[in-house]
Amino acid sequence: MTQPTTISIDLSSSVPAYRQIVDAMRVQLVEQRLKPGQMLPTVRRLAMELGVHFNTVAQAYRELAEEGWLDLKHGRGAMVIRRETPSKEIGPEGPNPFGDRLRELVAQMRADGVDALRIASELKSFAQELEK
Amino acid sequence: MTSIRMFVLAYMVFVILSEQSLPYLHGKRLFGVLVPGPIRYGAEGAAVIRHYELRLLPWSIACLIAMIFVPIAWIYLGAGAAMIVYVIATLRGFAVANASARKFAVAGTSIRTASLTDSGDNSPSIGRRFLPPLAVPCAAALDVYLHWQQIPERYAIHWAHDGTANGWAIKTFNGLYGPPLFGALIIVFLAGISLSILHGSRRSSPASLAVSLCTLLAYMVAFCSSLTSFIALHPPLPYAVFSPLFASLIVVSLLMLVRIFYRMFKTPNEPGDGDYTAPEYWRGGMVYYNPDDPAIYVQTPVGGFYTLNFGNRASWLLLARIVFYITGMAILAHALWR
Repeated sequence: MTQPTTISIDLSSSVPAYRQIVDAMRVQLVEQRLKPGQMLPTVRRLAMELGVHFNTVAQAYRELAEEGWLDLKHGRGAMVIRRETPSKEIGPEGPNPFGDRLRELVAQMRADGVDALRIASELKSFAQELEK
Repeated sequence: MTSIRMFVLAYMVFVILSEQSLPYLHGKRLFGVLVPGPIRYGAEGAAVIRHYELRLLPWSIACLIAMIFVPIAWIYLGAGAAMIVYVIATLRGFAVANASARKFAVAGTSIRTASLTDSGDNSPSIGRRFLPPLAVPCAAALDVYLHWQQIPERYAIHWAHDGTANGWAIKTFNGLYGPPLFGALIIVFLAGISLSILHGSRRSSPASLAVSLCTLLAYMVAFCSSLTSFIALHPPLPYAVFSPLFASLIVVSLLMLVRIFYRMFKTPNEPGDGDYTAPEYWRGGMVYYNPDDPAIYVQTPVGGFYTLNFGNRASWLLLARIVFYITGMAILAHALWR
C-alpha cells in the first residue's frame, strides 16, 4: 500500500501560510507524487487539517490552478491535471533569475542559522537526484 | 451522624481528593502546559502545584465544615451548592496555575501536516447510518395507525418474572404516538450531532468512533421508543426475546465508550503529539478561541478530551441549535404528557 502524500506548514513561520502550501504542493507536483487525475482534499478539509482559514487554502489552490497544475471544479474539489512545462532556455550570458533565487534562498537559510556545510550537502544530493 | 450525611461527606472528600490530585495526573504537562521534565518534577513545578493546592485548601475545609454542620433537611441543597462552589474554585485555581506554568512552557511545534487525499471528504453518509433507525419508530407509528381498532382500551405494560401482567396503561393518542415521535426526534438530533462531528473534526480525532456510538444510540432509541406500540399490539412482551437484545446493545455501547475514552486519554505529551494547538489560543487553559481555525471540535491539552472552538461561529450555531432543540422537545413533552 502506498503512503498518502502529505504536506507540512509551519504556522509560526514568517512565510505566509498560503505561500507555504503552494510551495509544498508544487514540490509534490513537480516530483510527480501527485499524479494527473488525482483528486485533492476540498478547501474545507485541507483548511481543517492544517488549522488555517478557508481563504488561505483557497488562495493557494487558485495560485496552483493559474500555474496550470490544478483544475478547480466548482463543488467537486480540485483535480491534478497534466501540465505542459513551459520551455525557458537560459543562455550562457545574460540574467540568471534561477541562480539569483538559489543564492537568495541559501542566504536566507544561512541567516536563519543553517550550517553552510549542511546546505552544501543538501544541494549536492539534490543535484544528484536531478541528474538521475 | 446519619448515613445520608456520611454518604454526602464521603462524596465531598472524593471530589476534593480528585481535584487536589489533578496536577499529578498529566505526565509531562503542568496544568495543561508542556514544560521541560526538570521543571515539571523540580522546584518550579512543585511551587506551582503547591500554590494550586493552597488556593484550594480553604475551599476544601469550608465545604467539609458545611457538610458536617448543614441541617439534615438541607443536606442535598447544601451538597449541590458546595459542589458548585468547589468546582468554580477549582477552575479558577487551574486558570491561575496554567498562567504560572506558561512561563516555563517549551516551544511547542507549530508544524501542521495534512494528507493530500480526498478520502475522508466523502464521509459515510449520515442518511445511510440514521435512516434505518429512524424508520423503526415511523413504522411503529404506522403500525399503531393501521391497527388502532385492535388495541384494547387497557393494555399490559409490565410483567412479573412468571409472565403475569402487573402494570397497565390506558389507550390514548399521546401515549401511543408520543414515544415514537420522541424517538424519531432524538434520532434526528443524533444525526445532526454526527454530521457536525464528521465535518467539524480533524482526521486525527476519534470522530468516526463517536459517530458509530451515536448510530448505536440511535438504534437503542429506536428500539425503546417503538416498544410502547409493540407492547400495545403484541402482548404479552416476551422477555426471552427482548432482554438479551437490550443487554447486548448496552454492552456494545459500553465497550465503544471505553474505546473512545481510551483514545481520548492518550494525552499528547510531546509537541506534535495529538491535535496540538498553540497555548495562546487557550483562554485560562480551558477555553479554545481561534477564529482562524475551521475545526469545531479540538482536543484539549489536558486529558485529551474534546471541546468546542469558541472562536468558530459554527460552534455557537451548534450550541444554539442544541439548546433550541432540547427546549423544543421539553415543550413538546409538556404538551403531550402534562
